[in-house]
Order: sequence, then structure tokens, then C-alpha cells
Amino acid sequence: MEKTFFFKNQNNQKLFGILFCSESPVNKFGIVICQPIAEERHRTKRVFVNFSRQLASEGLCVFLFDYFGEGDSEGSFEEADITSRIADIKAAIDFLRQETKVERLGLVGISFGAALAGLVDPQKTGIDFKVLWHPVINGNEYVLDWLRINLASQMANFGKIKFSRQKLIENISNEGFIEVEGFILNQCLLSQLKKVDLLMDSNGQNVPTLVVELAERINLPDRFIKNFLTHCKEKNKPLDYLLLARVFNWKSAKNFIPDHKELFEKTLSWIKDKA
Amino acid sequence: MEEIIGFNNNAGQKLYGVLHSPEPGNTVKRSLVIMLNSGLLDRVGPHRLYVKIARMLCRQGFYVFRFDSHGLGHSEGELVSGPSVLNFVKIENGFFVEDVLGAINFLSQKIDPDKIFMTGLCGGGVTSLLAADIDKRISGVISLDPPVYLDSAQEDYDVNPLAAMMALESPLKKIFNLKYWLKLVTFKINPLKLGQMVFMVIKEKTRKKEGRDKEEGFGRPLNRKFVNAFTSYVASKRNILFITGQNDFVAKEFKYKFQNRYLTGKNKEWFEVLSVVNANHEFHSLDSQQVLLEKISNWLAIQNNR
Repeated sequence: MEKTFFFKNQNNQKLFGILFCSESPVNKFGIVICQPIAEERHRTKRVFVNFSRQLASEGLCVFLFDYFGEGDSEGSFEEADITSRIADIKAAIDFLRQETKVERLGLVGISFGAALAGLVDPQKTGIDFKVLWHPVINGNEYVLDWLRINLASQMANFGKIKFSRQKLIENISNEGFIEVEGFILNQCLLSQLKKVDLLMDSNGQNVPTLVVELAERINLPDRFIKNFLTHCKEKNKPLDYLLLARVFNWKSAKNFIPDHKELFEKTLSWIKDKA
Repeated sequence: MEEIIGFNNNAGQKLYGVLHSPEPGNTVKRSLVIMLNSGLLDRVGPHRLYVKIARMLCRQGFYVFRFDSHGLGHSEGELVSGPSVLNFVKIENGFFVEDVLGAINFLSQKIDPDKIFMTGLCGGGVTSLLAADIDKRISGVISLDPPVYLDSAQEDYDVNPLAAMMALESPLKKIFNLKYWLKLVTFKINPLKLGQMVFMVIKEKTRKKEGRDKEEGFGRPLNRKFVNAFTSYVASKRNILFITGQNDFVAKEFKYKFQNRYLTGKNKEWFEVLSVVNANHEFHSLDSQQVLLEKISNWLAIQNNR
């Protein structure tokens, strides 16, 4: 069964969501999907639709929603920030609880969506587990990614770099924003992105957490994820780690691969075992 | 008001979309704009361009329906998993046209529109025209940066031959320019890239191109289906607006292969081409988005009052 909704967040703004549930849920797990932001959302949408359908066929209830200012939800991208997105995840959790009888509830996210899931406080939201697919650990690095995309666009558009990375940062300070793939990166979002650091916010990992690294090259692990794992281990966080090949790519639209059987199966199996 | 609508296509697959309905009293005619997926992106479009367009048009009194064709968004069905180009080829051949006809049938009953317009970016621009050629209920089309060629998995170039040829025009002009040679020998111009382009042009010139006429020139073959649909569509005396991005390479191919050859002649009054300055394929810059929205809005206002 798939049902679509417009539901309200705490600011009374309309958010779009799809609930994937089997007709008679066989277990009490509920999942809220934390999508990545901006263009990465588009590239992973169908992956999450397929993943949600698979989980629903196994008896779980999954809620896939759009943050305020993204997808089919109300508002514009530039009106939203990190705080609003975390509040929206909380609204989605509450909505899933209202609509279903799930007893144990977790978050699954990818890239910056996984970072947002990582930042959600389990105590305040009552969530029981998290699955972070290739999470962004450090916001500064993520911002550099955005700037790199802008530089690549300049090359494609004008055949040269008109504004260097430094100049782009200055432009954000002076003009209030820059454009990245058509999205507005403004001062507010930039300053909040820069503060994101899962190493500093590791309280978010006080519940069983699965980190899946989706490596482009298996022998070249992501150093930020590696540091994060070491850090969590030192702090005795209940964290499991899985290294898988990157079958689909949220950084590029060159391929359309809306599936990752191994990732889906291993995530599901971990949820059933550990969560 | 924005609501989620589900309907079945002719194959019985459930497709979903968002219907934007104007405030009661904000519309004289019941005009509907249907927005078609840009490539393999969902109904939101790149950088939510479709949401921005839909909300603007809705404020102006239009009904707007953005929906996902089969295999996209959360609509039923599956597309080919692999290189995106495999699906692009299908779209360019009208893979989503049946979904559009299904949407029109459904919305004709639900809204009973006086006029129906189609729009879409890239592949959506192709599907718009192919569907409009078949369904005479469609009054007008806005095709945004449509690819006029046929993609092919075998010809998924790293360096597009047409792009290479255009890029080489500039060095050829400067061949007797000392400054240019200085740049070349001091590696300010990448000699490898230059060599790659020369190689691509020679390769393309010597390659056999079966089933293509000489005028088609370099690169991917012209999409005859698109050309035929255009010819037959304008002959039916309905309007079409092409909007292209000045810096978009797809638009350069549009001009080279299609505009210069087919957008001439007796049916001139039924088509229009507008180019947006400094715009790329997806209209990323804010200025280009604003111009695009204005052009769409103005054209639809005129067509709606006809």
C-alpha cells in the first residue's frame, strides 16, 4: 500500500510525503527516509522509492518525505536551512507514529541526508536506530564540493573560471548568495553547513547505528568516515560498519541505477537483527 | 491549491503527479499546462524549476499538472538500469508519449480544460512535441532545450565531434597568430585536449554514416521523428515556442541541425525560437531563470487569449 500526503511541520508548512506499508505489517519497524538535499535528492529519489517498496514488502512501514523548500513541499530552497530540515525530520517521525502502529522507529539517509539523520537527537525524538549510507561527516568538505560544482559549471558555461573559490566565498558574504546547479547557497545555509561535524555531535549515535561506506574504489576508503568510525569506537558508540561498492552515484546523472540489491538486503538484515 | 493525483496510463501502470489549481475566480478560461519529465529527473525538475514554473503559472490562473512518467519518481514501472543514455534513446523515440495521452484523457474528465498546453525541458521538450503531434487537443507547446538528435550508447562521446569542430574553429582562425602559438608552447592551451579534438574531427569525417544525409553533418544523427512531428504539428496550425539556452551545447546542435534547416518557410507564423542569454541547459543562473519564466508567462498569456 502506498499513500501520499501533505502533512504539516511545526511551522504549519505543508510537506509532501509517501507512506509505503504492507497491507498487514508483519513487524513493528518504521523508517523515516532522510533524503539528501538539492540535486542529490533527484539522483537518489528512485533509489529510495525502490528501497521503500522492498522494505514495505518485508512488512515495514517507510515514510519518504520532502523537506520544506525541496521536492513537492511548500517553500523555496533558499528559505530552508539545516535547522528547518532537522525539524522536518522530527515532524515526519511524529507523522509516521500517528499514521501507523510502529513500535520501533529509525532513520535511513544518504550523503547529506545521512548527516542530517546523524544530527537528530535520539532522546528528543525517541528514535531507536539509524542507518547512515555514506554520510557527509564534515560540513566544510561538503561546502567545498558545492564550490567545486560551481567552478565546473563556470568552465562548462564560459570556458574559463570567472570566480575562484575564494571569490565565490566573498560573493556569498557580499551579495548574500551564490548559485550552485540552480540552487541558492546563501549565507545562512553556508554558515550552518560549515558547522556540521558528526565528530562533534556524536551524541546522535547513542542508538544502534549502521554506517555504510559506498566506495567508488574499495581500496580507497573515505578518510572522514574512517575518522568518524575511530571516534565513535573510542566513545563506545553502538556502531556497525559496512563497506560496499558504489553501484549508484548521487554525484552524477551519467547512470540511472535506481537499485543496489546488496545494500538494500544488508540494511534490511541489520535492521531486523540489531535494531 | 496543490494536490497529489494518481491515474493509470494505457498500460495500466499507476502514475502520480501534482495538480496546481488556481484560486477560484482567478481564471477566465480553464487552461491547463502539463509539464513532462526532464530526462530521468522526477516531476520537480532540475533545481525545482518545474515547481517554480508551476507555482508562477498557477498564480496567473492556469491549472498545472507535473507528473512522473512510468519508472520515474514514485510512479509504477521500471526503466532500463545502466547508462542514462539507454533511456534517453527511448525517450527521444517517444517512450513516454502514451503516458502523456493517458494524462490528457484523465485531466480532460477531471478539469474539462478549454485549452491544453505542453511543456518540458530536454527530453520533456521532445515528448511534448511528439505527443502534441498525435493529440489534437493540445493547443500549444513550449519545448525547452530539446535535443534534436538521437542518442546512442555506441556514440556516447566524451568529446562531442560537433563540439570539437566548433572549438577548433577558433584555433584555425588564430593559426598565424604568434600569441596563440606562444600559449600553445607554454602549455596555457592544453595540447592533449587540442589533439583529442583534432582526432575526433578526423575520425568523424572519415566515419561512414549510414542512413544520414550529408547536411546533417557532425555528431549524433538527427531525430527524424522529432522533425516529422514538428512538420506535421505546424501544418496543423498550432503554435510552438522553442526556448534555448545560449551557452547550452544541446541548443547549439538544435541550431546547427534543426533550426537552420527546418525553422524556415511557409509555416513561420506557427513557431518561434527564443534564446536566453548566458543560460546553460538547465537554466541554472537566477537571471536566466527569471528570463525563462517571463518568456513562458508572456507566450502562454498570448496563446491563452487567442
